[in-house]
This record gives sequence, structure tokens and C-alpha cells, in this order.
Amino acid sequence: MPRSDVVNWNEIEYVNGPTAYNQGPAGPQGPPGPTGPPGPPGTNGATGIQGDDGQTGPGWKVTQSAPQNGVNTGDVLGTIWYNSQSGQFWTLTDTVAWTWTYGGAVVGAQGNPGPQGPQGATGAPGPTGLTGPTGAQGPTGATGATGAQGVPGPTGSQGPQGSTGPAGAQGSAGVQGPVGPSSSVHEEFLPTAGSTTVVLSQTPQWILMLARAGVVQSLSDNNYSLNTSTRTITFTDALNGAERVIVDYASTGYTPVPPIDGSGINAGSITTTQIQDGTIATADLANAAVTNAKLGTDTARLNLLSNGGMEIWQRGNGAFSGNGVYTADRWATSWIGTDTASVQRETSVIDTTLGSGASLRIAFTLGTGAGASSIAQKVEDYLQLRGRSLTLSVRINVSTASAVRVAVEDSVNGRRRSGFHTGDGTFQTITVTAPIAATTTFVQAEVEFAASCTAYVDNAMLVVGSVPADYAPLHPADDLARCLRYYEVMGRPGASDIIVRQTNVVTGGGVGLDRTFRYLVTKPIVPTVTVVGTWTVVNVGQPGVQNPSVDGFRLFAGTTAAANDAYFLNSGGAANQCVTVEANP
Amino acid sequence: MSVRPVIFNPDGSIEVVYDELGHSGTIPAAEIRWTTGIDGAENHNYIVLNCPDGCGASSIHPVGGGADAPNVQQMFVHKTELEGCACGNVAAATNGVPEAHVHLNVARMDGENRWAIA
Repeated sequence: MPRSDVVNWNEIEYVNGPTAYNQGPAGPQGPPGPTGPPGPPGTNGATGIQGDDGQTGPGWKVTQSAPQNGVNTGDVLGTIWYNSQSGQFWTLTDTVAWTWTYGGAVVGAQGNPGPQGPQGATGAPGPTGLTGPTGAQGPTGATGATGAQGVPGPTGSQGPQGSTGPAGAQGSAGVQGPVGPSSSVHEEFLPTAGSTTVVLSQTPQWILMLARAGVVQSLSDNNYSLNTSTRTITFTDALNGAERVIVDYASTGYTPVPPIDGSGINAGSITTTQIQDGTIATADLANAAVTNAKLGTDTARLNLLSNGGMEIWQRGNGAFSGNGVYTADRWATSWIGTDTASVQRETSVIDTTLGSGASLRIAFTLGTGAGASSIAQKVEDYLQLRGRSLTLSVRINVSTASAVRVAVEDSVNGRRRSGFHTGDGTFQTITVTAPIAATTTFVQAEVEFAASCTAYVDNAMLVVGSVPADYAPLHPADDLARCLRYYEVMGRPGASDIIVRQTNVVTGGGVGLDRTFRYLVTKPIVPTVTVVGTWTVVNVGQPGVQNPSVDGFRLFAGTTAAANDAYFLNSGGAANQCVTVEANP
Repeated sequence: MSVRPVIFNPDGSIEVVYDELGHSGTIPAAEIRWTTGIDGAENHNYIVLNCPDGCGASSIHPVGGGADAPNVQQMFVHKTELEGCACGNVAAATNGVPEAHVHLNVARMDGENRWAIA
């Protein structure tokens, strides 16, 4: 047995071996030794290339409700369910039982309450009320006319005493005659001695009493005689100069003067014939006593319509045939059923009576509209007209009878219509008065067409009150300003009077030319703004409108290249480049 | 009056007329676009319609209705029902929510009495 530290050994049989030994052959290679200990760490290698993108992980799922546990939604484990209305979110934690675990909310505190919602629509009209009680009995009729004068009684037979027969039955009172003979005159005279006559100042009809020195004189006893033509009383005996003559007589030529304190004037007897023309002055009228009903149609009043004279046509002279389109400023078409029409500006057939430069000509063809088609103008400020009476008057010329009339409409009472134009081919004033409901949501003046015809419409007036008003023109500046509130053209079409220009422009990232424009007149509501035509542009795109308001808008064009010069200009081949602004409340 | 809608088709497209020039045609739903602001964000208060005639006219309609309240407001309702609102607060639906949203925007812009859809 070798020593334990001998690695290679072979057992050799010893049989009388030689006494001398030679070195034996080399033994076979031994087995591999055990693995040596790990060597020291090597130096770091170079950074490898970026790996492929990993698989998409669970993400957010935006909904407007909360998740329901147990429902297989097909989502990946870990998906977050977000309710955009409540701001809460849940995480999918189990795709076997489909469990969503609530994770909280991502939204802030609840905001303040929003503004109150708009008022609801007006309810339906209530049922018709019960029939009212029978009215009170009417007043007693007026007193009948005075009867005719009675027939004179028969002449009594001539009796032996010559007495007059019985008087006839008294007739009823006749009409009042002129001042009669009962109007008496009293005169006194003191004739000179020897004179025999006195001359009365008035023509006597009857001598009622004649006294001479206090003694009543008698005609029958020939104390005196009377000459009515010369108004002379002649005494039979000459007067002595101290005798006073007193005479009362009736006279037809003398009209007594009644007292003028009113007691002598019969009620209702003062008419225009007793009043001198031009003598009633302002002082004779009570303060605040002249009502609307007392005004004449020629009293100029405020017109609630815009462009009532049909003088302004900013959209052009027509012809306009579409339904719901504006023609003359503020006057829009409303064709019902199969009715058709063509509207245009007219300068020959105009209302020369009240004065005009243009009228609205309409060639109307009746279809199934049954008289409801119209040219109409909505009044913007209907709120201030609630509860009032309005009167519309329009000058209309048409040669077809029962074809054209006018109307005032509100949302509660509908249309209140006038009578028709007679169709005599002249301008007539057609009017209608209508009370406006206290809850109406619009007011509209209309010219209606009920038969095929060609009509001319001019000089429309809508006034407060029950009396029509003749058309009174506004100053042209005021007339135009009213129209500009609703429609406005900025820049003359194709006239190169609008340009937005910049030098040293850059491009990209939303860079562009941007300019603010203000309207000539503030609009009643935010308008529709139209950029008309294809503009001339250099290094920018076509301009567009941004953020129109009631006061103005921005005109913007993005740059297309970095350049020293860039602009857009309202010019071009069509020569129609401009901006139109339209607000129709 | 403007490039304005007059007929609404079931596929979301609209028939339009441009009264001043007598143009008309159809605008596909995809070309009825919200306007974008200077920051590039879409604005649910305005829709732009380009004249399909190719004349270059382009009308910006406000949600209040502008030149033609009934038809313009209806256009906003249809677009919101079809696509949802540009503001992201209302999803596409025909459950009345889009119309209520447009109604609110009309009242905010032009006042409560401006709503013109019966």
C-alpha cells in the first residue's frame, strides 16, 4: 500500500526478480484533478442594444358609470376603470371572479351650482271658461222725436154774437221757431209840446201797452194809430210836453241778447258753426288730455320697424326666391306649402304720395299656402311691447282684389289681419290694430298673400296705439344704423381694402397672421360671420374667422412658408372678397 | 344669409345653401367641423361650414344660431349626438343629453330666450 500522498502507483508482483532494477515505463495519465477555485471577476462588457417594447400593460378605461363585479369585461388584470362623471376609479384585481377594487376619486371638490336653467316653455292654454251670466238690461232708449204740429181747430160758426167758436184741440209742440213776438221791448218818450208822434226803435208787431201821462191808451177808441212800417205811433190829440209816453210792444225785428254766463245756452247747442276757425288754442285744452286716439294719421310717431321704407337692400337688389331668406334689410320671406315668389327692389312703382325711393316688388304664385305666405319682419325687443296695442300700416299697390293684406302676429294670439287691398292698382294704406299678449315670445309684422299677383309694398309703419301713422322717414344715417345692427358687410367686395400683412414671418406650430376686427354696430346676438370668396394670399393660407362675438371677431391665416413677406388681401378674380356679418334675433 | 344648413340627412351630412350666391350642395358629416382656437383646441361654441360649390366662402356659425337660429342650433344638436361634444363632457348619444348640452350653450351665448327648437 503506497503512502497516502502517492498519486500514481501499481502493484508489482515480485518473483525472483533481477537483482538490479531498471526504471520502468511511465504509468498511464492520471484522472483530472478537482476543479480549481473561481477566478477573479472580469471587466464589464459594452452596453447592449435596446430590447423590444414590452407588452401593453393594463391602462385606464374612461366611462360614465361604475364597474359591476362578476361581469366579464375582457379587460386586462390591473385595468383601471375611471368614471368621468363622478371622478372615481377602480382597479381590476381578479380576472376569474372579475373583481374591481375601488381606488378612490381623482376629482376635486364639487364645484359651485351651475346657473339656473332656462325657463320652460309656456304651458298649453287652459280650457274655455264657463258661459257668463246674462248681461244687465240695456238703458232706456233715447226720447223720440217731437211730433208734428197739431191741426188748427175748426173755425167757429159765426153766431149772432160773433163769438169765436171753441178752440180746436191743442196740437203737440212744434219745432222751435225763431225768436217770436213774445220778445218785448220797453220804451219811454217825453215828446215836445204840440207833437203827436213818437217813433219806436224797433219794428212793432203788437202794441202791448201804451200809456200817456199814466193813462192807458186804446187803439180801438182811436186814442192813437200805428204805422208798423215807419214804427210810428200817432196820437189823436197833441201832447203837451209834460206827458210821458210809455210803450211796451212786441217786435219781430229785435233779438234779445241772452245772458252769456251759460244759463241762457241750451245744452249741446254750441257746435263748430258757433266757433271761429283757428280760435281753439293750446290753453283751451286740458293738460295731458290728448290721447293716442285723438291723433291724426299724419302725426309723425316712432316706427318700431327697421327699413319700413324698403330703401335699404344690403344683400343686393334680388331677385330673391328662397324661403326664409332676407330680401330688403330685415324683411324675410316665409312661403307656405307650394307657394312660390320672387322678390326684388323696385324704383319705378313706388309710393309717391308719402314719398319713396324704392319699394319691394313681389311676383307671387299661390300654391297650397292658403293665404299664409308672407313677407315679415320680427321686432327684436318684443319684451317691451307686451301688453300694448300696436297698429301696423303699409302702403300696398296691387291690381288683384283679395290678394294682399297685412297682419300683426304674436305667439299667443296668432295673426290679427286687416282687410284686403281692393285691387284697384293704386297705393292704398292697409292697416290693422292688435293687442299684444303679456306673455308673447315674439312680435312680427307681416304682409300676407292670398292670391297670385304682382304687388308693391312700401312705407310700412308699426306704432304703439290704436291709430295708424303715416310713414315718416328716418334720417338715412339712422335708417342704415338700424339695419347694420342685423347685417353688415366688412370691406367692399374685391376692393382690396382689407389686408393683414407681416414681414419676416416664420412657419409651423400654428404661427400665422391674426387681426381683430370690430363691427360698425354692435349686434343683438352673436352673429354668423362669412368670409366670402377666395382671397389673394402670399405665404399664408386662406383666412378664416375665429371667435366671433357681438362686437367683433378675429381673422386668422396660418403661414405656409418662412418668408420676408406674407399677407392676405380681399381681392381676386371673382372680385367678391369681403366679410359678411349677420345676426337675426 | 350665409352657408347655412337646410336639410339634415340620417348619415350626419347636411344640405346647405348659400343664398347670396345661389350655391347649394351637401357637406359630409366629417367636414362639419368645430372651429379651433389659437391654442389648437376645438371650440364647442362654433361650427365652420365651407361652401360645397368651391367658391371659397366659409361661414362660422355660433351655437346661438347667428343668422338662422332654428337650423343652426339643430346642426349643433345633430353633430353632438353623432360625435359627442368637442369639450369632452358629453358623449355621442341620442338620449337628450347632447340637446340639453347645446341648449345650455345657447343660453350662455345669447340668453334664455334664444332657444329656437320646438
